[in-house]
Amino acid sequence: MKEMWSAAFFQGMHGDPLFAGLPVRVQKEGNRARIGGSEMNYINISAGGSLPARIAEGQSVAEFYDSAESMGKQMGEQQAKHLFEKMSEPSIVAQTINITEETTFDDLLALWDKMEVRFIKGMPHWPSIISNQRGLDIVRSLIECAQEDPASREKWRLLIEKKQKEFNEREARRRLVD
Amino acid sequence: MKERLADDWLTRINERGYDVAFCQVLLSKGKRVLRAGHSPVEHGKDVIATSADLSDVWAYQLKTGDITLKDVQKLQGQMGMLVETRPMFPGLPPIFSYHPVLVTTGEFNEPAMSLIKELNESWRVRNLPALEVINGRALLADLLELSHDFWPVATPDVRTLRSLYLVEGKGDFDPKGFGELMMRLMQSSVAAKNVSRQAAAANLFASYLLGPFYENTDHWSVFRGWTICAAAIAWAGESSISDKSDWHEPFLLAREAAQTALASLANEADDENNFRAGAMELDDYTRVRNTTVMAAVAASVLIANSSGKKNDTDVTLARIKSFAAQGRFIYWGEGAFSQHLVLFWFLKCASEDGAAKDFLLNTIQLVTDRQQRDSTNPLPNPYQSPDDCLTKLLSETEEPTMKSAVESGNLYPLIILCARHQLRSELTALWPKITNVFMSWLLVEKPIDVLQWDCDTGTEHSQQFGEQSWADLIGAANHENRDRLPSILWDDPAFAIMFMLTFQHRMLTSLVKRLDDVLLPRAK
Repeated sequence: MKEMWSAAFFQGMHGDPLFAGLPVRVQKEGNRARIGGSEMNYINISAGGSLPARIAEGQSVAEFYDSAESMGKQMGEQQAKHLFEKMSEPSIVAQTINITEETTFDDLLALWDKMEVRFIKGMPHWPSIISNQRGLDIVRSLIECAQEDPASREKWRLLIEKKQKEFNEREARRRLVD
Repeated sequence: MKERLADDWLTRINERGYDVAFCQVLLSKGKRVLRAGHSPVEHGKDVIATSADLSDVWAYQLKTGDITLKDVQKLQGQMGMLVETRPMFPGLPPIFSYHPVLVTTGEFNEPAMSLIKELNESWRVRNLPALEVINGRALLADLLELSHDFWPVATPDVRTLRSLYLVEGKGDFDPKGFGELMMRLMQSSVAAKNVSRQAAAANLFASYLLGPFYENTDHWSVFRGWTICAAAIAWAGESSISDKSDWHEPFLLAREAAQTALASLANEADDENNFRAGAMELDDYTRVRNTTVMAAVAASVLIANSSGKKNDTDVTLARIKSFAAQGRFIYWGEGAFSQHLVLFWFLKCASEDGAAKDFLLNTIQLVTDRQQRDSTNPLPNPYQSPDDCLTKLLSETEEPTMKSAVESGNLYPLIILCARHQLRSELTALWPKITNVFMSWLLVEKPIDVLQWDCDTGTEHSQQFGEQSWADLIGAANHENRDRLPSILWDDPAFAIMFMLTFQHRMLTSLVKRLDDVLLPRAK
């Protein structure tokens, strides 16, 4: 029973497709972690719920699974909150931007310029954009317009060249030297 | 519960299975154990003990079950040797009072006792010592007396004890549960400052819990159990302010029992038929057994070499090379690396440099292929047992609810080993892939804590290589990390090998470097 409850709990916790795709590092021993030299800041999160204590009547199957999933969801929401807080700190892997009707393609290029871009088989893999539907629609429209506009296309090409060079330099440093 | 468990154990155990418990009783009575073990040169003396001042020497022959008149008649030759040949052992004085003792876990019936009395009378006439007897009831009373303060009373521990005891005894040893129980037992001794008595109790509990594995001659489980027990005793001893003499003898008893089990497993490998797969056995399981057994054989040879004994290794060498060529070894996960490393050292010691290099490079190649950051098919981490890994492999595929980050718990020591063996061009070719692997390791504040199966405190580090200087790598590879290893692993290479095989998740860089130094002194 405990295993089934846990499975439903984690299903709820990692149910969001965005978070389901993010790899989770599980601490196996010890009480602290350092990733790439930086101290991992573990934050306690908790979830609660109540179950009816009925006389001579246990939980239905639906109640059993719902309670687990609901608590898992609460945990997932808190985890997401902390994750977004972390992501809002600008770095080479994450940047924030306020997407409005005034946002331009140059703003997007400036954002990507601050970030690391990987190239797989010569093709750039631009960082993912996480936004609500409205924001995504704006970004999609900016990209479509840029593809039609020679000046924007040229700026984009120059950025790709720059990012490719940076990538190649990073790759070239993955070596054993004297 | 305690009387019933000890009684049940005593009824079921075989001769070899109660060596340690019996020796522990002797130690608790102030005796010193000189030798324990069953060998062709024992002349009826399974255990030899002395008084503290060496004025008295006892030799014990250990039997199991009830002894009848017929048994005494059958045992007369062995009993004669026990009584008539005085023990010879380095350090024993020329004159001492000798006491031969016949021990059994059951009872001596009346006719048997009557014959022993008559034999004693005839030995007395010839100025020989009388044969003393110890029966199961006396043994049980001693065992209970020795451990009565230490029986687990907290529910989780009682439950763990029960579940660890109620096993089939064939490959179902739970090292994590066993290790945690041993540690909890020894942790309280550090606080209570009674390491000596609690170490004795640890040996008794280990004897009880390993009983089913002795019954089924599951030497691998017995080996791991005693190694974990010895590590827990050493942890408590070195963590407390106790004098080494308080815990070292119980530690040695557990350590010797582990080494004996390892040797028994190695002996089984002499007969090729013992590698025959049982009915309905999947080949991956057979390959796990091949890997484990040959690593045990290799470890036995390395341990003998480290103590100056030279074994004939031709058969072992031929088998390892043939198994390797035919793909009869397996990497079930990173937990298999310590066994492959022992095979590497064995081959190096046998001057098979090419084969040894292949072993090391195959291992590191596997890590760099499978533990890439985005790998969809990573090797299981070093904490997972072969059973866990194969069960997962053979189970119906389920979509995991969580995507795990891919890391390697063992890549760093493998790179360091390659550097020690001057494999620069091979590492250079692999380096771009190496830089895409997150390496993880546990760093503890007190080195002694690595002797715990599961360490509560400490920092897990996760890091990637980037551009790397070969000179710096060589510097790190040759730097002695004495301060990172508990002295019991530094000073006792044989135990260090047993520890690494048992604690498959503790392939510590400092330990790998130390063993490489000791086993291959010219590798630097």
